[in-house]
Amino acid sequence: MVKLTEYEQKMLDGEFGRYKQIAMEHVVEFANVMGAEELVKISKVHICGACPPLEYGQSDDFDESFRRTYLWTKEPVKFEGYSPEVYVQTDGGAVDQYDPKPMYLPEKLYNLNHERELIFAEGGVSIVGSCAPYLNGWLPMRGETFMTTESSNVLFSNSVLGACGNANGTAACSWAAITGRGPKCGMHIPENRLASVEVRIDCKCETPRDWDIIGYSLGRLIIRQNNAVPVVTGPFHDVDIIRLKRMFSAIATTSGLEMCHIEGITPEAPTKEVALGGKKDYPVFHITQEDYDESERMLCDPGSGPVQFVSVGCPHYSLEEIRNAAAYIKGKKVHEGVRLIFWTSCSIREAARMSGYLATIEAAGATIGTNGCPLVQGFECYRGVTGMAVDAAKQAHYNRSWLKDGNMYYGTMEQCVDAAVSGMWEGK
Amino acid sequence: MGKTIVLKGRGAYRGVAEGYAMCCPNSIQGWAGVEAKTGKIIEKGHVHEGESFDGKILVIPTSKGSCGWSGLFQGPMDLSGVRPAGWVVKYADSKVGVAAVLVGSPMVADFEEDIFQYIEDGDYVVVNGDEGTVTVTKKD
Repeated sequence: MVKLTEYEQKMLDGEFGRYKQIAMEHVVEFANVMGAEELVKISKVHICGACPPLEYGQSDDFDESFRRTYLWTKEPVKFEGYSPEVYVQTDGGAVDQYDPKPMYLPEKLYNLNHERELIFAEGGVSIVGSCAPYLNGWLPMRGETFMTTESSNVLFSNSVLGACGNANGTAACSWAAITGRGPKCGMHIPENRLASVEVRIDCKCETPRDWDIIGYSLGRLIIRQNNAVPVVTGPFHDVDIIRLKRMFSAIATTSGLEMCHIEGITPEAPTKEVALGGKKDYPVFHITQEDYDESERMLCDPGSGPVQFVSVGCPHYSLEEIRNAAAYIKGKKVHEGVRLIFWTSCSIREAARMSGYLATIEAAGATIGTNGCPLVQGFECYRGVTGMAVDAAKQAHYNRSWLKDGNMYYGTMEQCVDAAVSGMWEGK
Repeated sequence: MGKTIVLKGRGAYRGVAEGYAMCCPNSIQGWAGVEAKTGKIIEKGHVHEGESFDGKILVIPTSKGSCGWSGLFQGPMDLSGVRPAGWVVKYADSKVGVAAVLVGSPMVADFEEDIFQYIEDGDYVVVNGDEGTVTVTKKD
């Protein structure tokens, strides 16, 4: 059984009210399931938007939605906000911040989202609406503990920032934001962060798309090793944030990995030996060109075909990626009957507006979408779609479940823009 | 009655449950993996695509993919009370831990052995979350 501090015990005993008590009861139960001996303070939380992109917990009454989605109780308690000790920022949500139309979302949901964002903000949540919070001021430092509803962010924050957090879920993030606590387990414990396998990259490894496909392949491999923490070894060069965020979102699609060292790049892997904690005997796996090609075949349907929906930007594009996209689309025109959406956060969209990229993109007949992507704002957006093109493995993988019999095409940003302009995916 | 095997893990969630095994050696994908109302698996190409986990003993290696993984179970619980009767989990990561709290079914986790060598679809399984034991009666 988990041991609590005096403060935690008081919260569990209900001294700070029933609302906090319920959250602490769940935290304690969660800790016991994990076999945790104590709790840790959680200082940063990243949580699904005020209208979460979920099929359950929906109600016209905010407090009821909150109870069913974020708190998990049948008792008639009301939302009392989150702890001021925790910095809480929103992940994606069910509707765009500025315009529900490109995703065929109802006006009612759009208005409801704005209403609920105000309630959330009043309760201590900063409204940002991005799966890439590290591009938007949510940056836990080395050793700082966090919780997030975004799987690619778990990998990014552990591996690149050296912060400590596990993949949990909406409810657990909410319990942490209320109590400021979570179970001490997984990536909070130094020895669990050490690599136990080496994964050598023996395939082409240049572009962001290469890193995306490598991530997808690595996830397929590592799930069979029970998500053993790997140290990835090269040769590779020109590694940047764009490549790593692509890689991590793909790994998090095909596996449950929470930490991935990259030799010479990530802070806990100055060398392979350090990442492995001095282990001498460890398995070595390879990602070969055959693995890469197989992943590519899994993600992209063969041949050519018409597309009606093109979705680019997963994880959310950085300003640099929006700049590149604007430069590529400048002077082109999206084909009639095709929707092309570039996804990013509200703050980056605003910077894109100030920099003229938004005007260029809109002049081409495309839009910048915010607060999410098809995975969280989906359901309606596939109406009439027989072909969809995306530039991310994660999108290609998950959208298949919703697209049903339509064709899924996966390529570079440039290939996606070309498909949107011609209305056709030109396959191999 | 087939032969009986007893596996020892860690009792992760209290209580005793029994039912037929639903083995998912590649787990279930954490987003767009389950239909919320019914608990039916919708992950393309999944070995149990189209089947619900309702009342089954769910046998999984660990979670997979999105942090929304616990939502695969929160949705059916919220909408219709559908849930796995019990869980056998090779390694309980924190997404599995959240799901356990939300679902409230007995769970045994963290086994030394490869559970899929001993449990197959349709075996009758008793999960004892208090003792940390799993009793498997093989189908013939």
